[in-house]
Amino acid sequence: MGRPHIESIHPCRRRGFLKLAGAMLAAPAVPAAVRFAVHEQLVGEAEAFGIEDDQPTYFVEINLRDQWDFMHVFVPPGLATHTGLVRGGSGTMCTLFHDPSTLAYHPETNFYTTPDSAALVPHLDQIAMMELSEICTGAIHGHEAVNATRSPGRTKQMTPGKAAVWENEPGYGEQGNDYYYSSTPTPACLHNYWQKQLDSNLRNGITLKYISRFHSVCHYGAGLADAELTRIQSVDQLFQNFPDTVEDLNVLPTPQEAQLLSDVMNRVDARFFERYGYSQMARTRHATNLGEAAGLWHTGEVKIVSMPLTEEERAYWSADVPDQVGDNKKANIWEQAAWAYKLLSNDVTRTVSLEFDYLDVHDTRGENVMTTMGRQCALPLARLIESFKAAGIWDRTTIAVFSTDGGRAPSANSYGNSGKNTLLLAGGNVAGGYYGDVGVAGNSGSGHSYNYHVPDPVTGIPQAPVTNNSNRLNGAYAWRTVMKSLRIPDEVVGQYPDVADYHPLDFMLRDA
Amino acid sequence: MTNDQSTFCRSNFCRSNFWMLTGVLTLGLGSGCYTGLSDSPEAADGADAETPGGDDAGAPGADDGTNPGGPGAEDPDSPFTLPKDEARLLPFPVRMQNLARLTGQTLDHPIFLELWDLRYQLGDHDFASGVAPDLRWSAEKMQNWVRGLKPVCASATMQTAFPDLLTDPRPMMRQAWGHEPTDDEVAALGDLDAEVLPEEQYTVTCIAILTALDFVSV
Repeated sequence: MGRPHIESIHPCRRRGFLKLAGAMLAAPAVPAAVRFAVHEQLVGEAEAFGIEDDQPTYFVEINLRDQWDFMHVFVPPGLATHTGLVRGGSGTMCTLFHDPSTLAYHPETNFYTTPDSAALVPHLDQIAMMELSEICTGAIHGHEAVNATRSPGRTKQMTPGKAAVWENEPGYGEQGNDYYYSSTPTPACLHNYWQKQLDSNLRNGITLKYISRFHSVCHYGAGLADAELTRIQSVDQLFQNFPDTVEDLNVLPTPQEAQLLSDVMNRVDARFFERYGYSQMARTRHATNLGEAAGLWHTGEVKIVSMPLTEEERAYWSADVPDQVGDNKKANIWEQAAWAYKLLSNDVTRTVSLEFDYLDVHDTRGENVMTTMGRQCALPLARLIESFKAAGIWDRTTIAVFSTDGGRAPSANSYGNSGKNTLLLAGGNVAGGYYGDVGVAGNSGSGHSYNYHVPDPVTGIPQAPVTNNSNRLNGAYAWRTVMKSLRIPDEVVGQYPDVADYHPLDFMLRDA
Repeated sequence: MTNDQSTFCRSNFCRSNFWMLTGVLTLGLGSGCYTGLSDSPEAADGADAETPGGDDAGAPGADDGTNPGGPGAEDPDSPFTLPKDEARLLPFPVRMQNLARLTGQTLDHPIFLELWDLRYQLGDHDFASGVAPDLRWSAEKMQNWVRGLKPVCASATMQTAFPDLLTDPRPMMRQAWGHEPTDDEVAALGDLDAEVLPEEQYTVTCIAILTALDFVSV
């Protein structure tokens, strides 16, 4: 390639030109290849790679609680192909309620889909499933609000370098959540932090705390000053947080006034911190929040996004998705998905976490339970992917679905502290496939005993089976895979001691 | 209540009492709020009934004396310490009560309507709807707090209570913060006069005093 074209522009005008070009090329509908080609023409190949790293990425973290089972989304190949599989909702029967003859096999990705997950078929090449990370450790049969795949190295002991992960969760209690300490930030928090480094005017990421029970999901910034997500606990709060008129947004009349107020508060509050002996971390956090507040007190010209869903939107997102099953229902998962899409596709923010549950079911798990879970996961996921593709930002989007407090063994009577712990990853740079396997080890009781073929962390090839919880992949593998999919630089993600010695599961990613 | 009494209630003594009371209530109500562990999962084999709600369901009970305050919960005999890594808000009702005292109005006065509308954005709770208190002093809460304060600070009520705010902010600072302001703090507020439009100076100065951590935090 010859001389980069940017050199033909007068040096005094290059900076402004590149800024304008960057803004235009960051528009959602510009495909990655076009964007890269333009950057390459302007600044040369080497520089173009750097600019690509600075492009926004969008993240939907979906946290499913009460020990979610994905059996009706993707059936593990070993179970789908087992002759004489005893299926049913009690004892050790397998909780697959679709006749194996109705399953569709997709050899390119090794996925077996069910009628409940058929909507995902057009997108399988960019969906990866890995269910064999280390098992959840909550005191009540595994229930926890963190998960080793979301914050590797989390422990129940406060050791040097680790801090409490629950302190920013409203109404947090021990029961079914547990108290953990960690030094590793959770995915949405780190992504929120990184995107705000790329764009200091970006609105803070959010988490929709819409679990129906007293359970929670911990989001943890690990001390990064502006990583913490905004916790939204009700639908009204969401709508108030993102009002649909410009007047609502500009609290103060000018940006100068907003900045001045921020500066004055910084000076005034400095004495407060001094007086009461707060740490430097508290001062830094406060200064960061004040800086961000200055942008919120006067937002200037902004794009307004109306959060309430129209009839047409409701019809699209809700079709065939069962309602939330829970104690104190807050919002359906299809609504959460629709709101996440609106916020991200309009670049209002770049990080949205969803929190959702299916009321904890034990002992027996019937067909209705599995079908409901299957559709609640598969249909909103398919519509999110379809919508992000239509918006032209799929190549910069990642969706990570976690069984946040543990998964289940295939047997109907299993709890969340045995068998699986699932990460379902979808995104423009995800290499589709079902990685690892679950199969039948033998007959036991009314059904079977089961075995688990953990994928090799380098090749992805299923390893020799185990019949207990041993040999699972350290949660750091899944965590680093999500971070790489989000294009967060290695120097950022590698600084945390509990993930530093692990690598991403490159077989789950394209261009790895 | 007189201004002197009000000032007294903003004092550190009053704050200490508030937190001591909170601590005592937390310990008192909290002990035994945890029902303990379920039976071993393996015991469920062969069960024949679907059990929505599961074994960690239901309201917390009170039988084993486990302290639900978490591993970091205070020893009742140890001295109370403030959290040092992050400034936290006073509970929303306490902030509102302090505003009411400052203005000499009742909580149902129309100048507070905007704040009430934003109450859950500002960390108030509604347990019936699953909304727990959220006392992080985040950028969004700063945004909404200032939005809610605007009608309070722009009101004739406030201007009647503190007519000389622009020439001497110390009375409002003293009453709002519960201590004598330092010269630095007064000087910082003075910067607002130089750059804010004259017709907005009163409102913005008032907002600054009532957004300071000395007013909203513990």
